Amino acid sequence: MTEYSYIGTEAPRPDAPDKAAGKALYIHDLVRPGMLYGKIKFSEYAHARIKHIDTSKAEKLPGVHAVITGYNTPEIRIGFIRDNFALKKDKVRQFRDEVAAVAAIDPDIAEEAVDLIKVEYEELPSVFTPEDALKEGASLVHEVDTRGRPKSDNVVPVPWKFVAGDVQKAKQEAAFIAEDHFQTPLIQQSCLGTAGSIAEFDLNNNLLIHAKTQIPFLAQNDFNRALAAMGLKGKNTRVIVPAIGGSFGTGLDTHSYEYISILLAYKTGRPVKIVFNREEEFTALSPRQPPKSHIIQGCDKDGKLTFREIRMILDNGAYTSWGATTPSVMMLPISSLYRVPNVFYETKIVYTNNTYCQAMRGYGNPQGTWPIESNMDQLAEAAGIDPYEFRMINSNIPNETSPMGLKISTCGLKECLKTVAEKLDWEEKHGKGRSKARGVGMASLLHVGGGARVYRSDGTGIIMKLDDFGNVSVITGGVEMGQGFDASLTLASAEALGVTPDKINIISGDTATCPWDVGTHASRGAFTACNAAIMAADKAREKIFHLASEHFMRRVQSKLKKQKKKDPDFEIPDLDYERMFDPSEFDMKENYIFLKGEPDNPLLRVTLEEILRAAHYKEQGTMIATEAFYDPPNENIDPRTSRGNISATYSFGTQGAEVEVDLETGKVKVLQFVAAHDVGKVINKQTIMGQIYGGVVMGIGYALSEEYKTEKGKNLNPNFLDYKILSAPDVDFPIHAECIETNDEKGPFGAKGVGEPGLVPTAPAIANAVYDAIGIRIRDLPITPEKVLAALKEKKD
Amino acid sequence: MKKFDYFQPETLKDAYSLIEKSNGSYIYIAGGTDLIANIKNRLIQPDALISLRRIKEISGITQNKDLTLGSMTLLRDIEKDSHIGQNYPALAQAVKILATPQIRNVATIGGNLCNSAPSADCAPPLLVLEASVTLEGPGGQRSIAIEDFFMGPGQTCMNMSEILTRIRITPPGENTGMAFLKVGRVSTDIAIVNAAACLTMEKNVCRKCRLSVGAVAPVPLRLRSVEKMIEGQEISPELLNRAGKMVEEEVKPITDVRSTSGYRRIMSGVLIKRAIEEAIRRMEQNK
Repeated sequence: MTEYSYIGTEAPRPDAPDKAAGKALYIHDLVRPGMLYGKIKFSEYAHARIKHIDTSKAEKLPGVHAVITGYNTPEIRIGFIRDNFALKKDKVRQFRDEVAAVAAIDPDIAEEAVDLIKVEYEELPSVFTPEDALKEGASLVHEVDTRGRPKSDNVVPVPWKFVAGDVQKAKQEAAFIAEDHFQTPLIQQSCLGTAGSIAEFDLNNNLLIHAKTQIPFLAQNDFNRALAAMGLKGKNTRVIVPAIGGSFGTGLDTHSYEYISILLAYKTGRPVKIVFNREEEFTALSPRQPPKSHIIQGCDKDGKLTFREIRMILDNGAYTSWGATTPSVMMLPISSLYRVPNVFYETKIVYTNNTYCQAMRGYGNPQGTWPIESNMDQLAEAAGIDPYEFRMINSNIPNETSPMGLKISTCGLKECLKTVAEKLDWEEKHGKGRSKARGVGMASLLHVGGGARVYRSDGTGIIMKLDDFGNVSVITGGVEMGQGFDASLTLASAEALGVTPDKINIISGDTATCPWDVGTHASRGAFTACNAAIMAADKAREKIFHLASEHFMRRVQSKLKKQKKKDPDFEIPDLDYERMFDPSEFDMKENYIFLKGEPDNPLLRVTLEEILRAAHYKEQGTMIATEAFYDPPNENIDPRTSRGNISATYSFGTQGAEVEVDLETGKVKVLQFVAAHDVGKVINKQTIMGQIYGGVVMGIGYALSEEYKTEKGKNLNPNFLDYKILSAPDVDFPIHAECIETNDEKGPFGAKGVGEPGLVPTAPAIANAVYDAIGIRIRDLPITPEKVLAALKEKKD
Repeated sequence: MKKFDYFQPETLKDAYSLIEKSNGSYIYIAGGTDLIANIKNRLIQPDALISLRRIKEISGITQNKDLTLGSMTLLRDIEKDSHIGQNYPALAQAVKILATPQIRNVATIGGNLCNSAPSADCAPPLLVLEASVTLEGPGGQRSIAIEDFFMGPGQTCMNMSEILTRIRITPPGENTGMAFLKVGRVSTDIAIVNAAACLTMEKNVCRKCRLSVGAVAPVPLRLRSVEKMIEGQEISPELLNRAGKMVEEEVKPITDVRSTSGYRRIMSGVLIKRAIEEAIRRMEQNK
């Protein structure tokens, strides 16, 4: 096994001290000279025609610089299929629709001005469930499609279907079948740092925007398109990303509020800041979609899966974000989690007058894995096989191509399953705790672990720039949003280059100075950026060793002479000077350049900074800055066949829970939790543990308490008082996080992506444990005490 | 948020004179953890806030014959007080799991009561301890039982110019145990239901029983008929089940975004049963 200096160590995060001390600058902290504060007037109806907007009173309020509506600004179309507008005209289709906005000298005046805007509406019939929206004669959310052609129904024109083998035949031949319906609620990403942007124009009409985004370069493209719509074709946007307090997918789209800050900045000639308060974050950002799934799976008499059929209906809300592509990721577990030859998957995405949805951590995978892994337990029971055994029988294995064309290279799923079973004491506990209302359950996951070719490119750029003191700026297109990107990139860069981690400075979040990247999503940040860093470091080492061949001997000779001066008894050794002129004879570690095989002789090594200074301070000197662009060997999913090796490698994992149910209150108490993940290779131990712990806690919230509640399209719990995420006191049980290292050859140092997997199988693991404890199967998340108690009562009656 | 003036009087008298001048558009503020949120949410729009924070005489914990809590005592100070922890564990427990440490560092016990939320965590322990509260205003002072203080959600028996100054608790006698329990959606939560019990026992027989349940009616409830049913009886599982059923019938919970009336009803019975058991266990531990 390769010996590493830093890979796998528990190095502290470079961004942690500033964030812990409150010194990091988030969008909320930023103030630009002359800045105004923007505020948005949102719809008061789920579906209504706009009859009249009266902005006269708002315009007259002292301190107000601009009031804009869809009627006095250029039309800016946004969204995945461009069915959304920055400001709405003619009609509103959801409560959060932006009908007007103001810019004022302080937030209070902006708020007061928004209140002074009076909008006259004519209410229209609404649809609030996909089923109602699909009914004959249902009110149309969009009367015309994006090309202006009349629409006849509420179906979003983004269909997903995957077929492999012959499910009908397999159904007839299956020895055991399990069928059920499952659903998940709307989930809010619950970022600690709310969304916001500050837009400003220079006198050449180029745009500078500070934005909370995960996709600075795609956002640049979106905003440039908006500039063109504003009559500023050819003008450019510079996106700067400040410190981010969690994003979880909210930054994968550009949003109306950003375009509104741009419009207000252009109109006023001043920087305009729009930052959401917590209520706006809940009501005017997009939560995770709530699918309803109908699943049927079957196996043969030995417990081998023979088919899987899933039909899904997704509530899109009123407009379409990139979230409409999450079924492409749901397709991964549906087609390829466990070995299953015959698969049928179809999903329908439907417009409603609910808030429109977006991607969230896991990109559809948590919603896909929920029915699969709940139903796996049901099928195991039907077949009379222990659920752990059943999963082992059907586990994915290395070096196999799945029906979807996923080329599974390394695969530690069996080891993950085994680890969970051992840690939970499965054999002793499963099926044996019902008298005490205690149970154990498990669930697994498959996710992209080697980037994800969602766009045409899956590339990322890195620039490494070395200075006089041996410091290395690692300039990346990726974004640190709390996940630990900088921490892993620091260690990978240090390891690959041969410098100590304290010499590494990660520079990111500026489209004008950082190299291009497609976006920090799909658990691809560390995988792609660290691979690019290795490439850039190799180039830098080549240059360094070339410089060493010019300067090393002279530096060594002067060291030897100095030593002789100090110690007359010192004898200058007979050295092989030939080697010192050959770049291939050098190696570098911990900032020292030395001849291969002689790392430890202090007289025979030279620091990186000495070499760099020697290169800088000479006639016709040089500097070292290298770049690399890494685009993983993966494929787009073919839209006709739904096949394609979307990722260069795949992450696997199994999670297990032991729970106790309070039979009088219905409360599910987690006693212990195990998370075993095939991570390829641990890059930064502290960061990966943070990712797993954080994922598990977020996953348990999704399982037990989180629910974005709505009534007729209006959010009822737009705050943390009533939207219940877990906090530290709720995690009063041990989480055993186990990293299984499979050393994938595509991964940087063998690593796979791990950003999302931590929360993917959490909910079904808990639901399966609840079933083991009390024999009750909860099918719609979250597993609240009310639901458990009602089911217990129903069971008793 | 509407702008408002802010006053920090140092005596009760100064506070009264400010409020009397205001024609009802000024209000008192204690810790402000509920009040400021209400202003931000535009539920109230006062012209001025009169802070009680600098009035020293209404802050602090004193134990003479009775326990006296100044209304401006921080919840955090009650939580940290070892005497209260030892002798009034129901109150200590209620305060310990009320909101978060950050909130307990500014919120006051008087504020928790005057806010008059049906779910106020301090209410059930004070009800079972039969605490009395002192209300003072320009017209003088009066003392009333805590049970008569709450009138409805956000409503108390105080008039605009009165200030809740002190809460007095007479120590319960020998062989007494008490407990506070709460059901929330997660650890840090407003109560879905909360409950307190205080029982004085003579061997296995209950001599005195005080029960209270919150968040299941317009005001925190004393459960007098259940208390009467239990007093003089031996505590048995059957008795507890009967008590639980009675509680379910006495409460009038609502359905809201936090819970359903059905679940709250069942929980009030469960919590009362468990609070009685816990109170007896504590009493036996203290022997």
